[in-house]
Amino acid sequence: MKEALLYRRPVSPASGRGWSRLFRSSTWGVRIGGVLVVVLVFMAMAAPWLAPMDPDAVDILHRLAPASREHWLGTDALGRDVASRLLYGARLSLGTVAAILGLVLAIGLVVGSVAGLAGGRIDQVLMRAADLFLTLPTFVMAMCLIGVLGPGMSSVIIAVSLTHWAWYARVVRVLVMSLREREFVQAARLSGAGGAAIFREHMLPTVLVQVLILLTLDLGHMMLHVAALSFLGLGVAPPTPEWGVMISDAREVIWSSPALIFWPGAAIFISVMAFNLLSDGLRDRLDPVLAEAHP
Amino acid sequence: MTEPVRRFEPLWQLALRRLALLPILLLLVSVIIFVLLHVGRGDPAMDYLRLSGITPTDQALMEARHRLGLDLPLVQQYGRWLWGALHLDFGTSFISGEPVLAMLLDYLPATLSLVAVALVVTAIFSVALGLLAGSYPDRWPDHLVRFIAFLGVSMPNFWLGFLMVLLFSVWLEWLPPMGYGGPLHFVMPAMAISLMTISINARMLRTSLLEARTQRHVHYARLRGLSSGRQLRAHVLPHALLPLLTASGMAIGELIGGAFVIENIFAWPGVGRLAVEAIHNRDFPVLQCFTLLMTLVYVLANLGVDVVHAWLDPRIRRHRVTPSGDMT
Repeated sequence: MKEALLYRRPVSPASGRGWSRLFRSSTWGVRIGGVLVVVLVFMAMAAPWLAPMDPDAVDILHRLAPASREHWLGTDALGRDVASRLLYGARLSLGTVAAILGLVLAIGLVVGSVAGLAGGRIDQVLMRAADLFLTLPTFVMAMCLIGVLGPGMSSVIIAVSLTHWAWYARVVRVLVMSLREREFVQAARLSGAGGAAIFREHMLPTVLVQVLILLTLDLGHMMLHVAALSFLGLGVAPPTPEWGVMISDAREVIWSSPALIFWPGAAIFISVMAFNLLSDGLRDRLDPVLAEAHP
Repeated sequence: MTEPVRRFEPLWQLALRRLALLPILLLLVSVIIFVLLHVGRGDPAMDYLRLSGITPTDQALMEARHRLGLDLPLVQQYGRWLWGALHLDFGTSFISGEPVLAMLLDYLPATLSLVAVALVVTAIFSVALGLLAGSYPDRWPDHLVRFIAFLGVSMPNFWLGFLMVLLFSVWLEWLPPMGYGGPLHFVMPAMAISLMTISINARMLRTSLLEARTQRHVHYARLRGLSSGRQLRAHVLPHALLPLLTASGMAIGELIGGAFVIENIFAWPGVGRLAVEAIHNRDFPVLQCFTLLMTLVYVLANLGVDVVHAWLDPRIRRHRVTPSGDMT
């Protein structure tokens, strides 16, 4: 059923001034999600200017301090400023998700279009490989891959990408194969355009847009995986301000300062929610059938 | 119009056909892990020495390499490992020196029982919430369920675990904060794991209930004057519950992954905690065996789901469904 939506063109913002038009034509969920994502990205990018303190500055004299004017959300067990660490954490979380997005997109595009264009034996082998990855449970496999590659942020990025590319490769393959039969591609071929040019000019733009939109549906899920892996200590090394790591650090003082667990978790929760709001709206727009199903 | 040929594949044949694929899958997974292990950074022999507390001199390193078979060509190493694996010998842990398989099997029951409880919790709550939402579309129960489901899909399970500990153990003092034992110990871990799957499945059931109600045979049932309860039981639910069954295969993977995270919060003596420790220590024999064991558990669970599905809905047995068939 999911593939049915691929053949429809995404609803483009009607004429007029793009952004305001897009905003006005959206549902409240999409608006809130979009605004939240923009705020998050802004916070991540402007962290060095917004953060009141150095996120790594240890201040043992003021450890576990309550919220104050100086420390908006208090300090952690080493006296580091929680608000600053949260802001810098946004950088890492969004950066990781962006890297995963890029990697999944790249693998999916390459594997999917090679399979779709080459066909035959190559197609079969690539799709069997995709099936293999689709058969296995994503989080468990991500954990195993990190075990093999060794803990670290790059391992997390590779592991989560490797466990998520398969579906997109299949989608790209289906898109490429259906585009190949379309009149404008046939026309380009008749007019003597080369294979690479046809792919670049006539297939890639469509495929790219569709797959990017589909990928946003998965972003929240990927972000949760990244957070859980960091929480288990399989991502960045501890002094780095990262939300999952902050929660893991705060476990030792859960009885005395529960707020230290609350804030980073809330940050993850709100970011995932923002992506989910956005993707729910996109899904409804993309698929009128689904949209009718929930009025 | 000719009647389509109704040839159903017997259930045992379906199960056997799928079981035959299992060794191939395990073999592929083991090859992938093996190759990645050797292109990955780090030297297992070094890790071995570190973990056994031996000073890493050149001499000791050579001996360790020889002992672990790391000086052999890759293919030969894999052959050795495979030969052992066929005899259920997956090597010994770098740390404890115990046989890996026995170690993992010791920890497996705790994980499986947690996943099983979470699966039951998922089934009960997703059907209840899905029915509630689907029976009152766009009224307050529907809005409430959709709101809960929306929060549920965005909530990190480990954070939910901590929030529940703070609420139920610290503040209300109703439930034990951690540990493994009585039924009360299961409540918070199982809830933390299953909220995500409950949310996804309740939403799905709601959608499929609404879709099933537009079917002609349901209209006909209404026209015949069947009570709404009977319409639901006899005509709507059998259709609407099937997607949920298919989804439970996915849910099992999600639940196992969730269990691994949650075990670390509740000091649950399961394989997830063991695996995380093994990853930190780079205890490769444990990791290799763990990956295969989890693949096996997951595939078997999915096979069970598929057999039940085929039993309840013989239509899917009419054609041979291959994993590469037109999916989704």
